[in-house]
Amino acid sequence: MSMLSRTDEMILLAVWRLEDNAYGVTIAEMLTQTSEKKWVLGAVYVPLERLEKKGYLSSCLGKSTKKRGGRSKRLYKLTKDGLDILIKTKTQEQSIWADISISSLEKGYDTKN
Amino acid sequence: MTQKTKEPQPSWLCKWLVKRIFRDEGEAKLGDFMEIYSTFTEEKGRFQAKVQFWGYLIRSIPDYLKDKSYIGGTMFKNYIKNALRNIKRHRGYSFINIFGTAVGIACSIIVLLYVFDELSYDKYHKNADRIYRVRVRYTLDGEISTDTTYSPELLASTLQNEFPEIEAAARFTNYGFPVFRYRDKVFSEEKVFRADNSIFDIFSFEFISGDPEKALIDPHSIVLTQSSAKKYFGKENPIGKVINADKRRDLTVTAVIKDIPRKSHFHFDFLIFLPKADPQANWLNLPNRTYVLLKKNATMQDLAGKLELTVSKYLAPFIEKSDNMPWDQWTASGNKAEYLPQALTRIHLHSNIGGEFESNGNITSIYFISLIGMALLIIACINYINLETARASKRFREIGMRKTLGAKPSQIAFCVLTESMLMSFFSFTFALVLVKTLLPVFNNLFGKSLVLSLSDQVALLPVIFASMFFIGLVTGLYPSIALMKVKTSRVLKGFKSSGKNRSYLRNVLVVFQFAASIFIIIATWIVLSQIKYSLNMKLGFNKDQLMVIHKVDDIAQSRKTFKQNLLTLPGVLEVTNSSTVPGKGISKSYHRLYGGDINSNLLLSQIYADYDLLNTYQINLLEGRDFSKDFGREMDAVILNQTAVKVWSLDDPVGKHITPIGSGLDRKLKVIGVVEDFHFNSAHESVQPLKIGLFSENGYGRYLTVRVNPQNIQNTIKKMEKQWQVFAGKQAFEYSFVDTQFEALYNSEKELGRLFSVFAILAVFIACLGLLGLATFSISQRTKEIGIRKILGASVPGLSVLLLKELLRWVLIAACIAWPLAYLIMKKWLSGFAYRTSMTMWTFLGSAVVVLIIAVITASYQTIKAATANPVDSLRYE
Repeated sequence: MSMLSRTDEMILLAVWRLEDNAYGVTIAEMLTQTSEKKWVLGAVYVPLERLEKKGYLSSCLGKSTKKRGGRSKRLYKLTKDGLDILIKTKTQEQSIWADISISSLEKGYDTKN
Repeated sequence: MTQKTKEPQPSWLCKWLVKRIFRDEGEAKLGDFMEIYSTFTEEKGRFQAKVQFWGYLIRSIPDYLKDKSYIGGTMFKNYIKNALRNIKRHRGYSFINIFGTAVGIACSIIVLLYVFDELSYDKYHKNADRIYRVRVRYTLDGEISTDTTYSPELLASTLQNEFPEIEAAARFTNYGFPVFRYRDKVFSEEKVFRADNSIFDIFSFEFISGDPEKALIDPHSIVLTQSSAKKYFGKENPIGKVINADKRRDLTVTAVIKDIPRKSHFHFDFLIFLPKADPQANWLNLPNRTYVLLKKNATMQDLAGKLELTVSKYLAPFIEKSDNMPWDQWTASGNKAEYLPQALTRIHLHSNIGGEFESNGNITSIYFISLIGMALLIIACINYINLETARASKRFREIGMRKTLGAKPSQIAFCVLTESMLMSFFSFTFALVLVKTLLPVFNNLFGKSLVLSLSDQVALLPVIFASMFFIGLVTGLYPSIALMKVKTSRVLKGFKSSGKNRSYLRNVLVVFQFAASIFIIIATWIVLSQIKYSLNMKLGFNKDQLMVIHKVDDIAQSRKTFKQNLLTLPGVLEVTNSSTVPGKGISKSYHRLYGGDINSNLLLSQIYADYDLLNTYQINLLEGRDFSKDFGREMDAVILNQTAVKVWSLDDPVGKHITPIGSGLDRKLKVIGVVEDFHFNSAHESVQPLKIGLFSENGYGRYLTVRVNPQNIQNTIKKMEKQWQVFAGKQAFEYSFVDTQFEALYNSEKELGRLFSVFAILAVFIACLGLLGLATFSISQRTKEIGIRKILGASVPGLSVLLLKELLRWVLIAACIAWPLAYLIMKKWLSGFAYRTSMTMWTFLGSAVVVLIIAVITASYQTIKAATANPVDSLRYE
């Protein structure tokens, strides 16, 4: 199973956190909150569609609000595969970082130079 | 916060953009954007929300496209890579293509610059679009007798006082050739104008010092241009300094203005006060030009109407008096007097009437040159299309391969278009470099000062980019369509294009190229031969070894002694002082037969001279006698030319009398002789009726014509200069030769001739480049045929003829197209000359032969190579 890119990882996590309310606007907002970058709608659509194509996400058309001018939301949900890959990513990451703390990283930089 | 009213919506354009760009399914994305918009509106209010939302939308697009178009980008990179490879692989053809197209583009850029330059004359005035000049035109008996820029003295003040539509009107005219002195500086000046002060309300002259309100109010005021101020005063402050004119008047400098820009239909160095018009002035006299500034809401038609009123109100009484005829009757008998408005910005290219300040440009030449520039560009583009379609057959395999690997037809087309765009880009870059390097040469050749500076001429950039794109598209379109249609299966099976259709189009294009080349050669030939004809025309006097000394008025007091001294020099044969010389203007006035009625009115050119005019110029006397000291100073005697005698149909002219109109009708001038017609003007004008009169005791002209001995001319000139310095002191000795002066009359034709020669060479050159490439391809496609023919016993000459035969056919068809076109257009051009060369058949045949020979030479290398090749090489694989 291939690895996730950082963007994909963040988006999957955002969808998971938003539970039943994961659609374009909320996902972009969530990403903006959790990262230091400002995310616009245009930047989330392509990875969303890609992840859906890969089978990590599923989507359906949901309710609409007055604010949206009567247009329905496209709500995203994590699939089983999506959940699996998130778990896998998490364990992998932990094992990569397991014996390294920030202070030991800095020390290593000093001795190398 | 909830809103009861309808939810605010982003504009339809936003919606459209979202739909288009984001490939929205079920409108969920549009919904997202509208939600964002609503949030903005709640937070910031409507207007700010709009702005912010647009910003948001625009920021969204690149992020989206970057991800989405990743695949498109790779393909595009691949296209570029392929195009570059293709260009590299066929280095020779690519070079021919790029070079040929670049030359064509460079030419059209230069033509564009030239045309822009010519079109931008007189635009430097702030109100240029509201300024008009009054043109005076009289028609007598249905024939235009006067058509001039000169107008009555009272016209300007009358227009200004009587018509509210006119913001300002001023008299503005040139003024003799005064000698100016300031301390030890003495110059005879030529560009001195006089004007009303209101001229500064009309024209936008830039004042460096002085007040435009009062610059020409005082009768002794003079306005200098920057360079003339420098000439007289150096670094001193010119304001308030006094310049002496002709040792008669003192003029005080009141203002200094910037030099008149090059692109102006008049140029002066000095501007002098013009005395108020005499309220009694005769409206039939035309002493100055009148310029008018209209109010913003007035139109040219308004001005035309006012001018018509002025004619019937003021001019009519004077005509009635002078012709003894009521106005109605005068106009009814085929006569017309008109004052017509001329728009300032049209003067340079459209006006070519009597009394122009300078010789103007010519709109026909502009059309001509633009046409040829276009033709060159088209020829270059055709070359590209030709070579590309010819080469296309070689690319069938590549295209077939692409198609089998899943390329869509649109992708194939895009691939070919990318290549032509790239070629167009290279050509343009090359062309711009060419223009940059060639402009100085061009300017030198044509006395222009065109510049190409993309940073200054920002307006040119979009034009250049647009045409770059356009040329890329046009040249790439046909080949891309042709390749798009290729059938994969047939190509990969080894099919070779028979290319009947394509070669048909190719032939049409080649024929067009040849036709354009032939046309340009004919045009050049005729322009050049007309110039030669004009210069060798029988002039009626001997123009060789005739020298003119200018500005004789500088030594007015001692001119007679100077003349006597010159005659003592060994190299000097004859000397005469005259009011005009060939190539300079000639004054005209109305005369009629003594005792005759209005029907015998005739506008006579007039030359005044001393006793030696006919001898010096060697003008033939046909009847009667010349002026002679034996008869004393005959102020009432004239010599006419043949044309005058013919127009008046005088059977026995000598002894008849004529009378000048204007000074009453009682003055009698006796005709004492008749001379053969002679040309003092260019071949554009036919010889006008003319009279020669004698200077009065104190009269003198500005020019001294000297017939010199052809031997040792330089020495003679040196001696003459020494004599001149005796009387004129520091003033420069200015002289010219009549034959060179005559040549100068044809400057604009020579310019056209040179331009045509350059264009003709380029046209043929570009066409040859195309032909070279084409011949190579058409022969490479026939290698097998040639091989088989050789095996069956064809000879090398026979084969060469076979291959070149096609060329002959093309040239013949091209000639048939070019000949009638060239004949019609050149006939129109020649009709501008009163004396013109005839168009001979040889010109037409010759041009076709020239093109054929050049074409054969171009193609023969490839042809002979193919014909002499060993057939084994071409047939080895069969």
